[in-house]
Amino acid sequence: MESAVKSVIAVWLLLMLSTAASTWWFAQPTFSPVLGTLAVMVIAAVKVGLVMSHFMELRGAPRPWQMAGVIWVIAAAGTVMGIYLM
Amino acid sequence: MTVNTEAGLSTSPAGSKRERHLPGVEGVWVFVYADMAVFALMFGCFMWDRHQAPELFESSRQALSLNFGGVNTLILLTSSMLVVLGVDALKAGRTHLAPGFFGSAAACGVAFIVSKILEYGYKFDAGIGLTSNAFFQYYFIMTGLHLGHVAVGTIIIAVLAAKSRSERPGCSVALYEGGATYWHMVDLLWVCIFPLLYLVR
Repeated sequence: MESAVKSVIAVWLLLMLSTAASTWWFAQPTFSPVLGTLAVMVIAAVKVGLVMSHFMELRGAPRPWQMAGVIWVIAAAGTVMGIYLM
Repeated sequence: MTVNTEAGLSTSPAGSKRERHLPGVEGVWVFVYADMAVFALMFGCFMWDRHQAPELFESSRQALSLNFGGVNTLILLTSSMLVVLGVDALKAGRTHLAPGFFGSAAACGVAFIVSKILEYGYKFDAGIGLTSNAFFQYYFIMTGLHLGHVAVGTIIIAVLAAKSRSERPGCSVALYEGGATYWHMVDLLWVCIFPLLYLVR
């Protein structure tokens, strides 16, 4: 298998496993609400970063377009986590 | 911007640094970022209103099905990956593989829509609707807007699947990349909406 295809499949596996961990572990009543929620939020931000870099191909995109994605993740995650911790 | 069919190929002249490439056309990216900005604003409003009434939002959240939301996320992530593989097959000259990848990706879109309709049905049966309270207003508006995006994206990917049947090695992939960029955004937004509505405690 080509290395580009391999890395896409590796990223997909990581996305699937982290989704399962968020849904059926960190968000379950047995996990502390605040720690579990923060874990879920950090995982979501990382997942968005992976989708942008590996699926949307922003990794190899011209810098300004790449920066717009980075700013979106920081602004969205910062706002959501900031208000949550208020 | 010049759309050049060579730009996506992984082979580059020896020693030269590979040129940076924006998939598809700039217009799609402007639309995608504008759409994402609107959703980010909605995420902020949701968190702010949740901050004003945490008990109401938490008790309402508990009426949602994490299994539906989680499985829907897995469906869209898989669909996104299939679209990446479809575009990659076209770029690498393995054009005969592309219709299968795009077709499976569109099927995932249909699965998401069916699952969402079932989920809404269970909510309505339980007497929950758009006007139940502030939480469910956000729930129906955010998931409803997103579902509209999924419906449009599924049609786009299905059209690309049909079109890719007649492609030959060396074809232009700009149209496919544009459709893929939109579909990845639909996936990306659900990656945010799902934890926000279903998982934040």
